[in-house]
Amino acid sequence: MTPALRLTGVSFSYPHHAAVENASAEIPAGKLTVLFGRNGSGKSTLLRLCGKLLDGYGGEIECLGTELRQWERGAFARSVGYLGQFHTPVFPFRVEEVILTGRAGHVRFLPVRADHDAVESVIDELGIGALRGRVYSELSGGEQQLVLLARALVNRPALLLLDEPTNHLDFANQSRILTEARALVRRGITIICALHDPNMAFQFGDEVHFVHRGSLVRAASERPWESAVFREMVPSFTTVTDGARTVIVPK
Amino acid sequence: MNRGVRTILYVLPLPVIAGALFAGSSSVVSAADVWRALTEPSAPLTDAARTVLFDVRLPRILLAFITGAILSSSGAAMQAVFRNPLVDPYVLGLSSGAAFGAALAAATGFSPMLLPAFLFGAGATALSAAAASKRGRISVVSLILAGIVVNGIFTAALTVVQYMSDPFTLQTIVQWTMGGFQTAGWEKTALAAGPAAAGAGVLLLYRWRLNVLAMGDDEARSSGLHPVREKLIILSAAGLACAAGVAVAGIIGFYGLIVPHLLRMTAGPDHRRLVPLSMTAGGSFLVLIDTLSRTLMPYELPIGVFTMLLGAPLFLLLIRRNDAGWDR
Repeated sequence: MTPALRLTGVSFSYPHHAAVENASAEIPAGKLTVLFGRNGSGKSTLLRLCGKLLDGYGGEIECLGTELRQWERGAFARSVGYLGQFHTPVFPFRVEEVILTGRAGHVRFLPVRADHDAVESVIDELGIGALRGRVYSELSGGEQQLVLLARALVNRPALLLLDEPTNHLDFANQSRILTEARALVRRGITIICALHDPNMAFQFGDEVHFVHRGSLVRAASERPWESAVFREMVPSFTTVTDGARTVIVPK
Repeated sequence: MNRGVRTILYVLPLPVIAGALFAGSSSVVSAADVWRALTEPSAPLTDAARTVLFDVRLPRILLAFITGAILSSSGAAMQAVFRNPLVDPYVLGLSSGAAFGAALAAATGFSPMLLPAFLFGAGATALSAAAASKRGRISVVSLILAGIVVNGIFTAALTVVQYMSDPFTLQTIVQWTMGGFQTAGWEKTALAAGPAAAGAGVLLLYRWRLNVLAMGDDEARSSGLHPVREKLIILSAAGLACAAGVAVAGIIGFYGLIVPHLLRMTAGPDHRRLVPLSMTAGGSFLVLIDTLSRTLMPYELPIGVFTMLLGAPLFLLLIRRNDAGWDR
């Protein structure tokens, strides 16, 4: 099976520092892959690269079988959904209007019936009908994140990129978002998700890649916290085991 | 907002334009004459009445409508493009560029004020955009900073021209900068109509994309738009239309800032409605204000001063009530 994403020697620099250096990995289709790393490790840059949001990278990024540079933007947007880390609303748009903006890759100038139908069906699918008609900027952080998730899903993408979707959310909302992500994977969507909480990463990810110093290292499926890279990233921790589950806690 | 108010705002231009034809003190045209001219086109009118109605009042009303529609719809579009509710069409230096162009023409007598005002206004906007773009991207902060700098340059240059002008020319320049429609005629209206129609057409076509751009660059890009390309198209359309408006009507302050806010509070932020409403209601309001400014007192108040004095307190009130919800 061809991987959803194949990175070969990818590098990217901002004007004053290199964020990604010679990163290579294969991300399988149909699974939830977690990019685990500390703040500033290059997770977001990697996701933004894969989402065709940054130009001027070195190496190759093959997404759904085609090199990113060859993807036409509209077609790419119809196949790959992206949910960014920070979003500040400026105008008091309604929830449906926000989700509808995700359809720009389909719309010529004005959205038509099919676009509104897509919004309705993604609202039903995520069970956020109660938010219909409400003003996006007045919602709680968790509700806003669900709306943005709906926006990223409104094109029925084959691949979904989530950049720390649990940031700033309370515990219950964190699991709600990640449970939602698992449900999407069961329905056949490939998800790549950046996280900085090791327990969330190991629990929800089918596969985990460590992002460390701008590079990618695939984590072992058994006891990934014992690897040298993890210990370098998280110098001080201890584990608590209860039956089959082990959680990582600060020492 | 309920559908009724919206419909009223959409059809507002008709009664406003018709009503404004009645306004004005003239011994040759009575209200009955206007009524007859409106209801039975074949009715006989004196030549003087015909001139007042169709060569003085009508072009002025249409010019005020066009200018108001341009300024407020461009203001709405630019607030979305910049993702900033404090932006108006003059933010990239359009007004000071146009004022400098007009002043230069007045001082040198080289050409009429209209064309240089248009060229320098549009040029200042383009200069800001060019200065702010880097590697195919334009950040909003650098765009606004570039606008401030370009504004400063042309304001300084304007001061130099004013300093070197004789008092008579100086008065012409000052009067131009205050804005107004007292010199309106068919020639000016026809000149403004072309760029205004082109700009309005683009803004209407792109009105939903403004919603997408207002979400942010990454969001727009990830949903399939090229934000820089879209922004340049929208800014060019708004810039050309506004430069034409400023060239024929001078600087009408605050209008492009406040009208989009007023409409957003009544009709919501969805640009599919906001842009056409800005045109119909924004045009109508300016006709109303211009009609007031020419009938309220025995002498005519400069409309730029009028919109400023009317708009500023209203805007302060709105900031305090903050119904637009931009700091939530």
